[in-house]
Amino acid sequence: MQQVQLINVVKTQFQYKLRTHISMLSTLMLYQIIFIALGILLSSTSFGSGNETFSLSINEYSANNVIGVTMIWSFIAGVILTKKSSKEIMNNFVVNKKSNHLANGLFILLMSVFAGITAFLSHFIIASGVSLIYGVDFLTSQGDLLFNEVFSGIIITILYILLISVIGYLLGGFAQVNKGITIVVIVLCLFGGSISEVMDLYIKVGSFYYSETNIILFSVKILITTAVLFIVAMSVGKRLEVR
Amino acid sequence: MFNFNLAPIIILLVLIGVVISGIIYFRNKLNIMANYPAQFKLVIVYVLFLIVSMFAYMLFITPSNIDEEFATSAEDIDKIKGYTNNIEELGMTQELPEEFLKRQWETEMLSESYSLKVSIHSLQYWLNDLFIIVEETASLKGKVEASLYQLPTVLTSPFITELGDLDMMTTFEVKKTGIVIENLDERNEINFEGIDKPFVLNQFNRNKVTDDYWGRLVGGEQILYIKVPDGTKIEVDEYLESQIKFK
Repeated sequence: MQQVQLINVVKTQFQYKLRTHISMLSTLMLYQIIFIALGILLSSTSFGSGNETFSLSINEYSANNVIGVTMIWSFIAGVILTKKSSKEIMNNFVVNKKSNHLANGLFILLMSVFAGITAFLSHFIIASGVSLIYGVDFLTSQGDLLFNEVFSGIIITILYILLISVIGYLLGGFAQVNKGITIVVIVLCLFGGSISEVMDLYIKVGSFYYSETNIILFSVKILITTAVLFIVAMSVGKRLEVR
Repeated sequence: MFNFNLAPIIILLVLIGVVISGIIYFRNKLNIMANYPAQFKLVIVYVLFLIVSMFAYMLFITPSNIDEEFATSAEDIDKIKGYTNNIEELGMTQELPEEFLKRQWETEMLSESYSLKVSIHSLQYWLNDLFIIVEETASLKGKVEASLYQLPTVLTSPFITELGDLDMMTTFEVKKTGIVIENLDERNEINFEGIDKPFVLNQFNRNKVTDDYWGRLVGGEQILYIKVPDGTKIEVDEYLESQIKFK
């Protein structure tokens, strides 16, 4: 009976969060549109070659910048969800920390799905734009995606964004408890690369995910990591006052 | 300046129109999203727009669709590969085809002991490999004949497809595996636009990524074919020494 009540509370909170934080998604949409336009106008790599009688120029375009900005946004969105102002919105409800975290978790999941789908599909807008707008002589179509690649690409993007936003959520949670921890983490992220031991750690952690070539194993790794980080984020909040 | 292909744009716009009309129609009928703010609806429309764009691109714009116009037989593909065959073999054992001839000149020799000097700068070559074939022949008395051949440049790539009309002065052929450019009498520019796969797929495509990422520029080699009287002393730049072959 208690379980059913918790589900109902979480559901109500989630719907309310969806309405109140919808501006986050529309902000992402705006960023993506800007970066899609930039992605069409500016090539990511250029190459020129030729001989005395002809020259060859190659410009390559990609949706990488859109995916990159979406990842940054997802981190910031994760942090914003833990901010005091975000919690105060829920004052109208009878909430406890657990239901609030679970509602946030659902919102992060939905946000990641939206962000992952839109970021990956922006590839097609950029590809269409490049094909149709420019006076292209030839198109190198190595970027053509098969249907299975589209689906796996969307899933991978969603998983990366989910992981990053949960990291943001965890750091935001730490910041609520102790700002010092957040500063240490930010300093380590920005300047830790210059310390060889920290750099080695980065490489090891990065390769744990990035060197995985099996999509199922990759998904399992990301989902387990995300779940662990989220549980840690929930336990961090326990020390805070109960509203 | 712009090379618009109107058909796919019109189809894309029609598809977007159908989707948006459908949303507006069913929204009221099924009360979908009635309680959500306008921003939410905008977000949903954005997702639908991207999905429709994906299908439109795959169905109407994707280069693999255009590719079929240029589909060639296995013989044609072999012909392209044939251009990139061993240059030495081509030069030493076969007559160089007339269509590859770029420049030809004849010089009177002052004496039998004339030293023929070959300078890399006089050939104005850049990027290409240069092969020099020297044939000593008794029939030439007091004369040197030099012919500069240039093999076709071949851009090999399974991904290359033509978009629109190519305004080139030179002869070219588009094949499924690449482009053959012959008779390079004028300077031409070729523009490729490549679409990279999103980087999130890289880790799962590692085995498929080869060095020929976008394609490869092959050929365009120059062959200097020199005929001199028997016993002529040949002097060449040090850089070119290894390139000289005597027939």
